[in-house]
Amino acid sequence: MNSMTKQGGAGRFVLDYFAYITLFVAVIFFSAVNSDYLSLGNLREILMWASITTPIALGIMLTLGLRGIDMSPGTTVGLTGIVMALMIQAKYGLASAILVGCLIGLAVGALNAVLVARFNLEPLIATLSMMFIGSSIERALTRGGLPIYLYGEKVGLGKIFRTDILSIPLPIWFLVVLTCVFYLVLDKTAYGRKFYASGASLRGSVNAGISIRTYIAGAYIISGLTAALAGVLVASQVRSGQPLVGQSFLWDSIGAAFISRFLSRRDRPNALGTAFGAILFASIHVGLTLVGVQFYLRNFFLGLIILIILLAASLRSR
Amino acid sequence: MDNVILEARGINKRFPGVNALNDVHFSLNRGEVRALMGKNGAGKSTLIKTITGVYPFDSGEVYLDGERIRDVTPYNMHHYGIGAIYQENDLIPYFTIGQSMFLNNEYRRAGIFLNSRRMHREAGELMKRVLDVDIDPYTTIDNLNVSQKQLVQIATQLFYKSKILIFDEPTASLSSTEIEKLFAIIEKLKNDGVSIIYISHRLEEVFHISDTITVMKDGCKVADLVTKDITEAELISAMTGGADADEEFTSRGRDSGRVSLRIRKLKAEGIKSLDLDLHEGEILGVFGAEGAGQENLSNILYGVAKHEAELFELNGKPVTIKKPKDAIKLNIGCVPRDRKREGMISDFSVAENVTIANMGKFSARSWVKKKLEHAEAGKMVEKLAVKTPSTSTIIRTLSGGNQQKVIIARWLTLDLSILILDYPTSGIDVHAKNEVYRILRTLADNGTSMILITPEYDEIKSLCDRVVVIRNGEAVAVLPVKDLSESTLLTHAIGMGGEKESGEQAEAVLAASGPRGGGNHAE
Amino acid sequence: MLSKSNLRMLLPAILVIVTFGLLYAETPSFLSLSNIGNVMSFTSLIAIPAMGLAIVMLTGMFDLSFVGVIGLSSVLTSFLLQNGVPVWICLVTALVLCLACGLLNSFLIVNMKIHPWLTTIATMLMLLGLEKFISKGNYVPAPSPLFDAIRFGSFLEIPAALWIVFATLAVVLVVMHTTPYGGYLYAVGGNIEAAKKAGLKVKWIQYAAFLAMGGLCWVSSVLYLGQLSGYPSESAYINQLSVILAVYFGLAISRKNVVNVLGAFVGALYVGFLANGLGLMGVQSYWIKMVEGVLVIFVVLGNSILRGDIVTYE
Repeated sequence: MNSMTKQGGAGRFVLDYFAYITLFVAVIFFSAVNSDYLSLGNLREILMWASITTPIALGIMLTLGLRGIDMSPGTTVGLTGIVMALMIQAKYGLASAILVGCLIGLAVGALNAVLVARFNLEPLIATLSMMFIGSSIERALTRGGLPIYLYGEKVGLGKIFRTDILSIPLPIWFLVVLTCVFYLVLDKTAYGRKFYASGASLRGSVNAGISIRTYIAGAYIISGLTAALAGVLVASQVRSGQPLVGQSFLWDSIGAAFISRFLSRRDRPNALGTAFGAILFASIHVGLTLVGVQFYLRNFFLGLIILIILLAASLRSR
Repeated sequence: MDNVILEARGINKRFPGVNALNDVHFSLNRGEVRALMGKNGAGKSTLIKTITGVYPFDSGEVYLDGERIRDVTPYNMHHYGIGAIYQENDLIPYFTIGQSMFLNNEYRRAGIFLNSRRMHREAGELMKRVLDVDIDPYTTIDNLNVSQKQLVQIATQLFYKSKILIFDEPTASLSSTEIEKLFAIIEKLKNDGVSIIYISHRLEEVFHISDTITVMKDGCKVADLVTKDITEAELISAMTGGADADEEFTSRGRDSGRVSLRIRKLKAEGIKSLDLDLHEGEILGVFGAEGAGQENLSNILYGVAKHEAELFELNGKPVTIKKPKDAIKLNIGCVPRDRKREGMISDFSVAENVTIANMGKFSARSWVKKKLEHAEAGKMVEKLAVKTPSTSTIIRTLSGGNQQKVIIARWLTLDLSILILDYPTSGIDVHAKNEVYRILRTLADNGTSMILITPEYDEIKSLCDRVVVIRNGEAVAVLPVKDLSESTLLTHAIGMGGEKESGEQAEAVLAASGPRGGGNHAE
Repeated sequence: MLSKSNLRMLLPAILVIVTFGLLYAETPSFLSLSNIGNVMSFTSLIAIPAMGLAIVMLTGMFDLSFVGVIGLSSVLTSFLLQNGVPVWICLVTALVLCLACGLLNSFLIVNMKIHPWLTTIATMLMLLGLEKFISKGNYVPAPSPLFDAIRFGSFLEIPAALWIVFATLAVVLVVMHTTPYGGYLYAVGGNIEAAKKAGLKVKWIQYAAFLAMGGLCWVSSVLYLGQLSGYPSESAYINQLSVILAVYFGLAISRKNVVNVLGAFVGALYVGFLANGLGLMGVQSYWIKMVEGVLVIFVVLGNSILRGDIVTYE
């Protein structure tokens, strides 16, 4: 192990490019098993899935960057969808439903922000509690967990997910634009600089005049908002309010956010790496489905890949 | 040479970027007190941590009693009878004194069950008998003050009946009576055949207590000396390698007489009531004995810690500083004491560290102007003679002195009116120290007022115009530095009438001010 | 005036009084003897992993994956039983699995230096995935006289499950407080550098904490199988928050303000009464989870506020 990492060569190469190699191997493997994997339609499928996980992952990435974590986006996704479905059922317009959905995300984020930034709660504990509280509410709103179907809706909810601009689907545009925005803000502006400073040294940043609490609070609030946006996409995709739907996206997104740190030269979470991670996990997700791996085993593979990434990152940093 | 108990041969240790130890030979005789001396960063602590197994070394051999130790781990070395008392606090917060002293060396019944009563009884007895401290062994560590904690550590090592004891700056937080007591203990241990390695900066202590001296410089051993054969000057020249004699400070009297910062009745943790006048363009020293209240002062003035004040005026206008951001807006900067944790952003580059407190200047509508940033940082690097490969180098990889220069450079990008410095030369070597002094003098000559909190008389003497002495949370004297002697300063700091009275009075004052001057912490 | 440490104890006291008062007022049968039996059966499912989590947290680490360990161990035991494997072999296999999981977690955290949250999120996902793979998301029955005995058997009128819980508690408490090993855990969590310098083998102690967690997960899975005659998919996962609540409740009632095993057990009792009482009142199970979530935040928050721990620098 040591010789491998210290002397460079093949081992070092594998560690440095581990994420890319994983993607490459996954693509080769899945396309070998099923020739449909490399088709354009399938690529579209992968990106569509990634368009949901990317915003969530970007939010989580922010909290990771400030030495925290956010476990609540999964429940925010579900909650947003359910509330939107209920509103549309009650004959509200699409715009107001989306607005309220986003407000819910902001509210969850703001609660997390207060707990973590104001009261110094352990982020894991605070957001995990929020996750459980949120899923209780999800179930309460849906009579114990019954989906709210909107197949007949005429407000255009379903169209969001199914509109193409320049023959590229709207969600994929969304993915690209959101990632670019995050990238530019984090890497090119003073806000990003201060964000990374706060993550790197708490006291050092305070002494440099940075209001770190604002940044920490901001990270959780933005994470809530991006999760709500993902929730809008999900609701549009399934044209219903599905309780507890968000959990499967949560794990993919956490994985993507983890991997981003590993892809950066300076070992810190970043936007491009997160988007790449989301696409990587989406490819694996779609591939596993295509190959016909049991739904139940998906989490196993997800956990395994996250673990291997963490392991490789740890080996690399030695 | 069968009198040698511990020998380290050809020890090499590399940290990323630096050769911390370079082919070091070190030997210790039975029953001697060997002082280990050297400037900060000379490799003393690294050597100790290597010998005790805390840091694995890259190459070299360690012999104990002539036998080679192949597996140098803390666990093994501990069992071979090497005990170390480090500078850092080495106790478990929620343990009792008894539990701490017997950690990993418990009295057991039937092999596994603790004999708690016996441990506490013996802990109490030991503290009483050897250190002459009467303290309930069931007291929790959390409720002890700094010097009590250290006494517990020393007692712990004494209990282990270690063959070799290492003291790393043991007197830093002890009062003079406690120091005398410690020396008596060391003397006694020596007579009992224990070998002692004694690390200290304080020359008089080293001459008082040691038999032999090993001098280190830049990771190499430069001399093995016999204490009684040398003079202080010889020792200093061995440590500095002959060069870098202290530069005598000449130009003083920058004081314009105008008051820049005026504070009345400042109250905060550790500060009962403090009046302070900082004149424009002067360097105002702040000095106090351990625990007198000056330790927290930079945090208080800079807005990190809370304070109340009847009057807090900057250039005649009342101001409020609730957080560092407020201070920076008023062009007040701060170089904190703990450089690594509180000063720099260790994962950031030199340029990023220079600009981080003043992003407004280096960005346009929040877009960072990287070219400007590097140009400015480059200028600073040149001006302050920072030794760094480039402005994009990560600051963590620089040496302490250069890191400190970068932190100072940060404040030069602002149009600074006041700079608060909290022991800016702690942990940096003599050479870098002199450079920092030079930088600060230039800064003062250009009109920046400074508050310099330092425990070193020399630093005050060579930099400051006036010095405020703090005792018991209050300013007891404001003295001009020009003809200030060390004894005058100390006399004011510990509050005695005559010049060299017994230490007991001083100790009483220190004790009254509490562990951190904190007041009612009793639970 | 009340000192800070006394003030801090008000929080759990208020919690207990309010909870029990409310529940008793609503449903007086709440404190009847037969109901206390019900409470204890739920408590037993929470208490054991809570004790394990307390041990892990004592050493300054964290574990989320225990829910997966319990789940996989239970499901594996049931699966083997259904295929005619003798019960003892099933149990031993499950124990080996649990210890192996503890070993894996500690290897990743201690040797590979990966953050405990990240590590155990990943291992939790893996283990839950495997659990679901075997159970297919269904209830998996574990037909065995041994588990029937745990469910229905009793000694001195105290149910067998409770004996298991108390025996486990007793063993853990004895190890924690009358042997040096408990102190070692505190030492590692309290000041790891000091523990190293005292010559403690810190890594081994951290390994031991996770192995203890593994062993306790095994005990817990036996209790799940005994109490429920099988394993409903993801039961432990659903109870994750209850366990965390129990541990933090224990922290709040601790005099030295440190997580501890006995506190976690008392916390589990509290959680048991709470869940049971709310159930008696006819509150839906998901509302109970919500109450627990709110309480976790409340307890952690209240504890740090009363302790004056909240750092106020900007």
